[in-house]
Amino acid sequence: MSNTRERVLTAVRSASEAMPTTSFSRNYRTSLEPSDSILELFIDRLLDYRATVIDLRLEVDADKIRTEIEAVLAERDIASVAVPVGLPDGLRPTCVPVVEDRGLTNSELDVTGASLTESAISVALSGTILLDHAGNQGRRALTLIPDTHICLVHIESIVGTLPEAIAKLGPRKVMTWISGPSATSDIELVRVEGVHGPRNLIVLLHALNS
Amino acid sequence: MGRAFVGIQPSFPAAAREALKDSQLRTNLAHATGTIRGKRARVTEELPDWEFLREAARGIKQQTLADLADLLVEFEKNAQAAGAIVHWASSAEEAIAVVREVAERHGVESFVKVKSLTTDEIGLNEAMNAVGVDAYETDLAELIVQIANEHPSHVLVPAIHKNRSQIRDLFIEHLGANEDTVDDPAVLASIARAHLRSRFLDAKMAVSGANFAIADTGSLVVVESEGNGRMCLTLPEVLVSIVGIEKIIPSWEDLEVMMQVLPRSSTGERMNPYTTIWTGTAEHDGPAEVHIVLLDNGRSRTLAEPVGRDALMCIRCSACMNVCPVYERTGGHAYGSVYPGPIGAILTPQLLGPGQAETLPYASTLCGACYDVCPVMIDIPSILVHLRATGPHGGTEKAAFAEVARTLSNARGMRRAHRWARFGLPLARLGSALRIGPIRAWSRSRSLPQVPRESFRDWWNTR
Ligand code: SF4
Repeated sequence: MSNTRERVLTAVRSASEAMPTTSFSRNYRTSLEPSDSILELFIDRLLDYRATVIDLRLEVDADKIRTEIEAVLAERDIASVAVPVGLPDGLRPTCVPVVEDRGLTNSELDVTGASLTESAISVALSGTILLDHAGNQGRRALTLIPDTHICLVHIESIVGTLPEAIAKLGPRKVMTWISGPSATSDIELVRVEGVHGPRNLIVLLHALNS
Repeated sequence: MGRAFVGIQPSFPAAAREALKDSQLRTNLAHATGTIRGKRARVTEELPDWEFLREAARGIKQQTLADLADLLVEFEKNAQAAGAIVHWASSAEEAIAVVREVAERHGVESFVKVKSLTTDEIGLNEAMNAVGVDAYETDLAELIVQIANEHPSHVLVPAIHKNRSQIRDLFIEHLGANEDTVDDPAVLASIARAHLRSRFLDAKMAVSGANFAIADTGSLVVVESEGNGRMCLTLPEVLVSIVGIEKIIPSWEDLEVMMQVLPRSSTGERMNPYTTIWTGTAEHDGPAEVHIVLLDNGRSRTLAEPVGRDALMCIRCSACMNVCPVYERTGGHAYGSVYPGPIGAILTPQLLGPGQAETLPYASTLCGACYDVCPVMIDIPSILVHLRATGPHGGTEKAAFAEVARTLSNARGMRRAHRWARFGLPLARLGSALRIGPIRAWSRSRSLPQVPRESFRDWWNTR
């Protein structure tokens, strides 16, 4: 194996030997125009992906946010919710059983109605929510297996462009970028929302500082 | 099952002639390429800095090729520090041996797979089947193609040659769907979901490719739509990712460019639904054992080609295929190669080496549409011309190719005449030269089948 490594590296090194070193400029945008409404743009993109948006952009009261989450659960007949260990208590619904994910099995997650998490940062221009799987978001399986993901997005965590998000966040060990619910266009190019990932993505915008 | 890369496929002209007879394929392809082309145009035109993004993407990939050996070493070091086990493979066989060894050590009889051209390139599924390990494709279209025992017809929508009722019939036959299943795409997607669910939840091992390998962090990146990728990358205990050495990007920051140009060029979306990034192993999150196989398989040889090496900058978005007039009519099958379309025509012959897939560089009109859309600005037409000139068919073919090119150009009504000037190929009226003499045999077997003139108008009208 180490022989192969040397062979490949030697071949690569000699192949690229005569290549000129190149430089290039990064002239692309790193922010949007001040006149652009980042929040409106973000909502527009999410709706385009057919996510559900609950707009509580001015809400700073945990009780009110929780009531709203409970309304969503009732409306959709969701009977149980899994949450990451780091989700603030005040945001956890009281109307249905809530399980904290301390190593739930795949099948336990599979029979859970929804996951409820926070998020790291969001990009308005592409309608993308970035999870870095910190304590308030949980491990990857939590937001993957249950069929509904209710994702809390603090309006101040929304930036205009991807370069802003990358600069703010820096490298992370694991990440999941989510742009709408899972989708396929594999059959006659007809877009169908919901294949293997959560079929419902509910994004709740709020302004509560934890 | 699966796709053979080498040898057993007929040459492009023969396969193209067959493909052109299939009007369902042609209609579906025209619809698919047209739709995706339109979406791509919309989401790239809405970005005022699109051309700057392309320039940066090109710069990033050029830098990758220039520093590749150092970047590979850096990637390896960082991935290992994060807990990954890094393997090197100079050939398909060596890469397959790694997967086989891992499968055997864990005693698995099957694994789940994320759609990956690189694993198709090395013929992984067939090789593993031969040793009694089943590879389950989990991407919806790949699943359809796999149970139909066929080959993908389009990189992005591999099952586009199948219509919904054919898919329903396949699901009834192979997935145990009810006889009275309706042929609604949403219903069919939910059958696939149910079928694969337990397979995901119980899978011990997964195999993936990667869209990017980030040198300065040791992370791998997979972009996808359905969530089957997330399932495969997250739930199993063991993950093996086969990564072509050209998939490297130097830094984490480069993601901000690549992840803007890839989804927009590929599916025409502002962002693909899901992107997974992982760095070695993470505690209590995802596979506890993570392998990365860095695959050469002809890449270092291609890198040594001063003109042809640019093909290694490709990020497999498939935009060049969707704008290619030849691809739109023949589909992916005709190329007899895992990498079809304009990029396949320059990449496949180089990866395979002398004497292989040598008709592919002729599977093009040199109209230049591919260059215009390519997010990393690969000058595909120039590389095609170069490969034709240096290929084994030098002399006669070189002369003939000018004639054929003229024919196709006029027959198509291609409007991009200016491209020709670049290659010193003056446009002329369609002559009868092709129908006579030694060139005639050449033209029949190599290029004319791409576009039988009789039905050209029909195709054009259905576009
Ligand atoms: S050659 Fe360019 S356009 Fe074609 S698939 Fe590769 S990156 Fe995309």
